[in-house]
Amino acid sequence: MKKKESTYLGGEADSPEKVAPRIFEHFLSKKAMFGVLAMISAFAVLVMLWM
Amino acid sequence: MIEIINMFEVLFCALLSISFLGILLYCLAYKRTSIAYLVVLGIAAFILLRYVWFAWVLSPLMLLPFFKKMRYEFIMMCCMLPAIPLAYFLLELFSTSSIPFIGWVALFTAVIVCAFGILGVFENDIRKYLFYSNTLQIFFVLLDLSVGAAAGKLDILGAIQILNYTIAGLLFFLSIGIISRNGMYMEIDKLEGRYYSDKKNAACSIISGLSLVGLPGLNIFVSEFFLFAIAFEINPLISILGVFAALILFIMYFKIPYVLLVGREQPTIKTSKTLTMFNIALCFACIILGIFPQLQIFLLTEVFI
Repeated sequence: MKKKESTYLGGEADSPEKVAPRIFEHFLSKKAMFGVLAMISAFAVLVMLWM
Repeated sequence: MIEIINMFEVLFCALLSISFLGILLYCLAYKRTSIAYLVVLGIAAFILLRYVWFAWVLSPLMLLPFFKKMRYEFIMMCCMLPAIPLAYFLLELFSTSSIPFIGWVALFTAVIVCAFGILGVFENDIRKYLFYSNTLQIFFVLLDLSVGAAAGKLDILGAIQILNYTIAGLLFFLSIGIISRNGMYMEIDKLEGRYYSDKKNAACSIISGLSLVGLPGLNIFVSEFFLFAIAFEINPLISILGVFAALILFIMYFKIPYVLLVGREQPTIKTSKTLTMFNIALCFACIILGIFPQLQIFLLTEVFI
Protein backbone atom coordinates (compact mmCIF):
# COMPACT_ATOMS: atom_id res chain seq x y z
CA MET A 1 0.00 0.00 0.00
CA LYS A 2 1.32 3.36 -0.98
CA LYS A 3 2.27 5.48 1.99
CA LYS A 4 0.30 8.67 2.29
CA GLU A 5 2.61 11.58 1.73
CA SER A 6 2.40 14.46 4.09
CA THR A 7 1.36 17.74 2.57
CA TYR A 8 0.45 21.07 4.02
CA LEU A 9 -3.20 20.23 4.00
CA GLY A 10 -2.67 16.53 4.36
CA GLY A 11 -3.96 15.54 0.92
CA GLU A 12 -2.54 12.67 -1.09
CA ALA A 13 0.32 13.95 -3.16
CA ASP A 14 -0.54 12.45 -6.54
CA SER A 15 -4.27 12.67 -6.49
CA PRO A 16 -5.40 14.91 -9.38
CA GLU A 17 -8.56 15.85 -7.50
CA LYS A 18 -6.64 17.66 -4.83
CA VAL A 19 -6.31 21.27 -5.77
CA ALA A 20 -4.81 22.49 -2.54
CA PRO A 21 -1.47 24.11 -3.28
CA ARG A 22 1.57 22.64 -1.63
CA ILE A 23 3.60 25.81 -1.75
CA PHE A 24 3.85 25.93 2.02
CA GLU A 25 5.50 22.56 2.37
CA HIS A 26 8.48 23.84 0.42
CA PHE A 27 8.97 26.74 2.78
CA LEU A 28 7.55 25.54 6.03
CA SER A 29 8.32 22.46 7.98
CA LYS A 30 7.53 21.73 11.59
CA LYS A 31 11.22 21.50 12.48
CA ALA A 32 12.07 24.80 10.79
CA MET A 33 9.22 26.60 12.50
CA PHE A 34 10.13 25.21 15.91
CA GLY A 35 13.72 26.25 15.13
CA VAL A 36 12.63 29.84 14.47
CA LEU A 37 10.56 29.80 17.66
CA ALA A 38 13.54 28.49 19.64
CA MET A 39 15.74 31.28 18.21
CA ILE A 40 13.21 34.01 19.04
CA SER A 41 12.64 32.67 22.55
CA ALA A 42 16.39 32.28 23.20
CA PHE A 43 16.83 35.90 22.10
CA ALA A 44 13.97 36.99 24.35
CA VAL A 45 15.37 35.10 27.37
CA LEU A 46 18.82 36.62 26.82
CA VAL A 47 17.40 40.13 26.63
CA MET A 48 15.27 39.53 29.75
CA LEU A 49 18.33 38.33 31.67
CA TRP A 50 20.33 41.30 30.42
CA MET A 51 17.59 43.75 31.46
CA MET B 1 -27.54 42.12 54.43
CA ILE B 2 -26.85 43.12 50.88
CA GLU B 3 -24.52 40.78 49.13
CA ILE B 4 -22.28 42.44 46.60
CA ILE B 5 -22.52 40.50 43.39
CA ASN B 6 -19.29 40.04 41.57
CA MET B 7 -20.16 41.36 38.12
CA PHE B 8 -17.39 39.37 36.49
CA GLU B 9 -19.16 36.26 37.71
CA VAL B 10 -22.28 37.46 35.90
CA LEU B 11 -20.25 37.94 32.72
CA PHE B 12 -18.78 34.44 32.95
CA CYS B 13 -22.23 32.99 33.70
CA ALA B 14 -23.51 34.72 30.58
CA LEU B 15 -20.65 33.30 28.51
CA LEU B 16 -21.26 29.83 29.92
CA SER B 17 -24.97 30.16 29.12
CA ILE B 18 -24.21 31.12 25.51
CA SER B 19 -21.91 28.10 25.14
CA PHE B 20 -24.45 25.82 26.80
CA LEU B 21 -27.23 27.06 24.55
CA GLY B 22 -25.11 26.64 21.40
CA ILE B 23 -24.09 23.09 22.25
CA LEU B 24 -27.65 22.25 23.31
CA LEU B 25 -28.99 23.38 19.93
CA TYR B 26 -26.28 21.34 18.23
CA CYS B 27 -27.14 18.22 20.26
CA LEU B 28 -30.85 18.72 19.55
CA ALA B 29 -30.08 18.80 15.84
CA TYR B 30 -27.64 15.90 15.69
CA LYS B 31 -27.52 13.66 18.74
CA ARG B 32 -30.25 14.02 21.34
CA THR B 33 -28.87 11.29 23.59
CA SER B 34 -25.84 13.49 24.34
CA ILE B 35 -28.04 16.14 25.97
CA ALA B 36 -27.89 14.28 29.32
CA TYR B 37 -24.08 14.53 29.37
CA LEU B 38 -24.30 18.18 28.36
CA VAL B 39 -26.72 18.98 31.18
CA VAL B 40 -24.52 17.25 33.78
CA LEU B 41 -21.39 18.98 32.54
CA GLY B 42 -23.18 22.33 32.24
CA ILE B 43 -24.56 22.17 35.80
CA ALA B 44 -21.11 21.18 37.10
CA ALA B 45 -19.58 24.15 35.27
CA PHE B 46 -22.20 26.57 36.67
CA ILE B 47 -21.71 25.27 40.23
CA LEU B 48 -17.92 25.45 39.94
CA LEU B 49 -18.21 29.02 38.71
CA ARG B 50 -19.81 29.82 42.09
CA TYR B 51 -16.92 28.22 43.99
CA VAL B 52 -14.16 30.19 42.35
CA TRP B 53 -11.17 28.31 43.75
CA PHE B 54 -12.43 25.00 42.42
CA ALA B 55 -13.35 26.33 38.99
CA TRP B 56 -10.31 24.65 37.43
CA VAL B 57 -11.54 21.15 38.43
CA LEU B 58 -13.11 20.42 35.02
CA SER B 59 -10.08 21.57 33.06
CA PRO B 60 -8.46 18.07 32.66
CA LEU B 61 -11.45 17.30 30.42
CA MET B 62 -9.92 19.64 27.84
CA LEU B 63 -7.16 17.08 27.27
CA LEU B 64 -9.57 14.28 26.34
CA PRO B 65 -10.03 15.16 22.64
CA PHE B 66 -6.29 14.69 22.17
CA PHE B 67 -6.11 11.21 23.67
CA LYS B 68 -9.48 9.74 22.90
CA LYS B 69 -11.52 9.47 19.73
CA MET B 70 -14.84 10.94 20.73
CA ARG B 71 -17.96 12.14 19.02
CA TYR B 72 -17.95 15.74 17.82
CA GLU B 73 -20.44 17.11 20.37
CA PHE B 74 -18.30 15.68 23.17
CA ILE B 75 -15.25 17.47 21.78
CA MET B 76 -17.23 20.70 21.92
CA MET B 77 -18.42 20.05 25.47
CA CYS B 78 -14.96 19.06 26.71
CA CYS B 79 -13.33 22.11 25.12
CA MET B 80 -15.78 24.97 25.61
CA LEU B 81 -17.50 24.25 28.94
CA PRO B 82 -14.38 23.78 31.14
CA ALA B 83 -12.53 26.65 29.44
CA ILE B 84 -14.81 29.37 30.83
CA PRO B 85 -14.64 28.39 34.55
CA LEU B 86 -10.87 27.93 34.12
CA ALA B 87 -10.57 31.46 32.72
CA TYR B 88 -12.61 32.74 35.67
CA PHE B 89 -10.36 30.92 38.13
CA LEU B 90 -7.27 32.40 36.46
CA LEU B 91 -8.81 35.89 36.57
CA GLU B 92 -9.53 35.58 40.29
CA LEU B 93 -6.06 34.16 40.91
CA PHE B 94 -4.36 37.04 39.12
CA SER B 95 -6.54 39.75 40.65
CA THR B 96 -6.32 38.57 44.26
CA SER B 97 -2.74 37.40 44.61
CA SER B 98 0.51 38.75 43.27
CA ILE B 99 2.17 36.24 40.98
CA PRO B 100 5.98 36.18 41.20
CA PHE B 101 8.12 36.52 38.04
CA ILE B 102 5.15 37.85 36.09
CA GLY B 103 7.32 38.95 33.15
CA TRP B 104 8.73 35.44 32.79
CA VAL B 105 5.26 33.92 33.04
CA ALA B 106 4.10 36.15 30.17
CA LEU B 107 7.13 35.28 28.05
CA PHE B 108 6.80 31.55 28.70
CA THR B 109 3.07 31.66 27.89
CA ALA B 110 3.75 33.48 24.61
CA VAL B 111 6.24 30.73 23.63
CA ILE B 112 3.65 28.04 24.45
CA VAL B 113 1.04 29.84 22.33
CA CYS B 114 3.50 29.81 19.41
CA ALA B 115 4.32 26.12 19.97
CA PHE B 116 0.66 25.07 19.93
CA GLY B 117 0.13 27.26 16.87
CA ILE B 118 2.93 25.42 15.03
CA LEU B 119 1.42 22.05 15.98
CA GLY B 120 -1.93 23.31 14.69
CA VAL B 121 -0.44 24.45 11.36
CA PHE B 122 0.64 20.90 10.54
CA GLU B 123 -2.40 19.12 11.92
CA ASN B 124 -4.88 17.51 9.60
CA ASP B 125 -7.04 15.69 12.13
CA ILE B 126 -9.87 18.04 13.12
CA ARG B 127 -10.09 16.61 16.66
CA LYS B 128 -6.47 17.42 17.43
CA TYR B 129 -6.68 20.70 15.52
CA LEU B 130 -9.56 21.85 17.71
CA PHE B 131 -7.72 20.66 20.81
CA TYR B 132 -4.65 22.74 19.85
CA SER B 133 -6.87 25.70 19.04
CA ASN B 134 -8.69 25.55 22.38
CA THR B 135 -5.51 25.06 24.39
CA LEU B 136 -3.69 27.94 22.76
CA GLN B 137 -6.67 30.21 23.35
CA ILE B 138 -6.55 29.33 27.06
CA PHE B 139 -2.85 30.19 27.05
CA PHE B 140 -3.78 33.45 25.30
CA VAL B 141 -6.10 34.15 28.25
CA LEU B 142 -3.19 33.44 30.61
CA LEU B 143 -0.96 35.75 28.55
CA ASP B 144 -3.58 38.51 28.72
CA LEU B 145 -3.86 38.09 32.48
CA SER B 146 -0.12 38.12 33.11
CA VAL B 147 0.37 41.19 30.91
CA GLY B 148 -2.68 42.84 32.53
CA ALA B 149 -1.37 42.06 36.03
CA ALA B 150 2.10 43.39 35.17
CA ALA B 151 0.66 46.61 33.70
CA GLY B 152 -2.10 46.99 36.31
CA LYS B 153 -4.82 46.82 33.66
CA LEU B 154 -6.69 43.70 34.65
CA ASP B 155 -10.01 45.51 34.20
CA ILE B 156 -9.55 45.57 30.43
CA LEU B 157 -7.37 42.53 29.81
CA GLY B 158 -8.96 40.32 32.47
CA ALA B 159 -11.90 39.01 30.52
CA ILE B 160 -11.60 40.42 26.98
CA GLN B 161 -9.96 37.33 25.48
CA ILE B 162 -12.41 34.81 26.93
CA LEU B 163 -15.33 37.03 25.94
CA ASN B 164 -14.17 37.09 22.34
CA TYR B 165 -13.05 33.48 22.28
CA THR B 166 -16.41 32.25 23.58
CA ILE B 167 -18.18 33.95 20.70
CA ALA B 168 -15.74 33.21 17.89
CA GLY B 169 -14.61 29.82 19.22
CA LEU B 170 -18.15 28.55 19.79
CA LEU B 171 -19.11 29.67 16.28
CA PHE B 172 -16.00 27.88 14.93
CA PHE B 173 -16.87 24.66 16.75
CA LEU B 174 -20.55 24.71 15.77
CA SER B 175 -20.03 25.59 12.12
CA ILE B 176 -17.24 23.05 11.60
CA GLY B 177 -19.47 20.45 13.24
CA ILE B 178 -22.22 21.24 10.74
CA ILE B 179 -19.89 21.34 7.75
CA SER B 180 -18.19 18.08 8.72
CA ARG B 181 -21.66 16.54 9.19
CA ASN B 182 -21.21 15.95 12.89
CA GLY B 183 -17.72 14.57 12.57
CA MET B 184 -18.29 12.35 9.53
CA TYR B 185 -15.27 13.95 7.86
CA MET B 186 -12.72 14.45 10.57
CA GLU B 187 -9.82 15.50 8.37
CA ILE B 188 -9.31 19.05 7.23
CA ASP B 189 -8.61 18.16 3.60
CA LYS B 190 -11.95 16.31 3.45
CA LEU B 191 -13.66 19.69 3.96
CA GLU B 192 -12.59 20.81 0.47
CA GLY B 193 -15.39 22.47 -1.46
CA ARG B 194 -17.87 22.06 1.40
CA TYR B 195 -18.69 25.75 1.25
CA TYR B 196 -21.23 24.71 -1.38
CA SER B 197 -22.86 22.13 0.93
CA ASP B 198 -24.25 24.75 3.27
CA LYS B 199 -23.33 28.28 2.30
CA LYS B 200 -24.74 30.01 5.39
CA ASN B 201 -22.94 27.87 7.94
CA ALA B 202 -19.80 27.73 5.84
CA ALA B 203 -19.82 31.55 5.72
CA CYS B 204 -20.14 31.54 9.53
CA SER B 205 -17.22 29.14 9.71
CA ILE B 206 -15.16 31.38 7.42
CA ILE B 207 -15.93 34.47 9.48
CA SER B 208 -15.10 32.72 12.76
CA GLY B 209 -11.88 31.37 11.20
CA LEU B 210 -10.94 34.87 10.04
CA SER B 211 -11.82 36.25 13.46
CA LEU B 212 -9.58 33.71 15.19
CA VAL B 213 -6.88 34.64 12.67
CA GLY B 214 -7.03 38.14 14.13
CA LEU B 215 -8.30 39.98 11.07
CA PRO B 216 -8.94 43.69 11.79
CA GLY B 217 -12.66 44.36 11.89
CA LEU B 218 -13.50 41.14 13.68
CA ASN B 219 -13.70 40.65 17.42
CA ILE B 220 -10.52 38.70 18.27
CA PHE B 221 -8.41 41.43 16.66
CA VAL B 222 -9.56 43.86 19.34
CA SER B 223 -8.33 41.68 22.20
CA GLU B 224 -5.05 40.97 20.39
CA PHE B 225 -4.57 44.68 19.71
CA PHE B 226 -5.06 45.63 23.36
CA LEU B 227 -2.78 42.81 24.43
CA PHE B 228 0.08 43.83 22.14
CA ALA B 229 -0.35 47.55 22.82
CA ILE B 230 -0.18 47.06 26.60
CA ALA B 231 2.54 44.39 26.35
CA PHE B 232 4.72 46.79 24.38
CA GLU B 233 4.61 49.26 27.26
CA ILE B 234 5.84 46.73 29.82
CA ASN B 235 8.14 44.56 27.71
CA PRO B 236 8.53 44.83 23.92
CA LEU B 237 9.82 41.24 23.81
CA ILE B 238 6.33 39.93 24.59
CA SER B 239 5.04 41.94 21.63
CA ILE B 240 7.74 40.42 19.40
CA LEU B 241 6.67 36.91 20.38
CA GLY B 242 3.05 38.01 20.13
CA VAL B 243 3.47 39.14 16.54
CA PHE B 244 5.19 35.83 15.72
CA ALA B 245 2.26 34.04 17.39
CA ALA B 246 -0.19 36.11 15.33
CA LEU B 247 1.64 35.08 12.14
CA ILE B 248 1.51 31.40 13.06
CA LEU B 249 -2.13 31.66 14.10
CA PHE B 250 -2.90 33.21 10.73
CA ILE B 251 -1.45 30.17 8.93
CA MET B 252 -3.17 27.80 11.32
CA TYR B 253 -6.67 29.24 11.20
CA PHE B 254 -6.65 30.38 7.59
CA LYS B 255 -6.53 26.71 6.55
CA ILE B 256 -10.24 26.36 7.33
CA PRO B 257 -11.63 29.31 5.28
CA TYR B 258 -9.22 28.38 2.49
CA VAL B 259 -10.00 24.68 2.36
CA LEU B 260 -13.76 25.27 2.45
CA LEU B 261 -13.61 27.50 -0.60
CA VAL B 262 -11.36 25.42 -2.87
CA GLY B 263 -12.00 22.12 -4.57
CA ARG B 264 -14.98 20.65 -6.32
CA GLU B 265 -18.47 21.66 -5.32
CA GLN B 266 -19.92 19.24 -2.80
CA PRO B 267 -23.61 18.27 -2.63
CA THR B 268 -25.83 20.40 -0.45
CA ILE B 269 -26.86 19.24 3.01
CA LYS B 270 -29.84 20.03 5.23
CA THR B 271 -29.16 21.83 8.49
CA SER B 272 -31.30 22.71 11.48
CA LYS B 273 -32.72 26.20 10.97
CA THR B 274 -32.52 27.13 14.65
CA LEU B 275 -28.85 26.21 14.76
CA THR B 276 -28.18 28.22 11.60
CA MET B 277 -29.96 31.24 13.10
CA PHE B 278 -27.91 30.91 16.27
CA ASN B 279 -24.72 30.75 14.20
CA ILE B 280 -25.71 33.83 12.22
CA ALA B 281 -26.37 35.69 15.51
CA LEU B 282 -22.90 34.74 16.79
CA CYS B 283 -21.48 35.79 13.44
CA PHE B 284 -23.09 39.24 13.79
CA ALA B 285 -21.71 39.48 17.33
CA CYS B 286 -18.20 38.77 15.94
CA ILE B 287 -18.57 41.53 13.36
CA ILE B 288 -20.24 44.13 15.63
CA LEU B 289 -17.75 43.65 18.47
CA GLY B 290 -14.96 43.91 15.91
CA ILE B 291 -16.19 47.05 14.19
CA PHE B 292 -17.06 48.80 17.46
CA PRO B 293 -14.25 47.98 19.91
CA GLN B 294 -15.56 50.63 22.30
CA LEU B 295 -18.56 48.34 22.82
CA GLN B 296 -16.24 45.72 24.31
CA ILE B 297 -14.54 48.27 26.52
CA PHE B 298 -17.94 49.55 27.60
CA LEU B 299 -19.08 46.01 28.42
CA LEU B 300 -15.94 45.22 30.40
CA THR B 301 -15.40 48.48 32.24
CA GLU B 302 -18.88 49.95 32.69
CA VAL B 303 -21.35 47.08 32.70
CA PHE B 304 -19.31 44.31 34.33
CA ILE B 305 -17.17 46.37 36.64
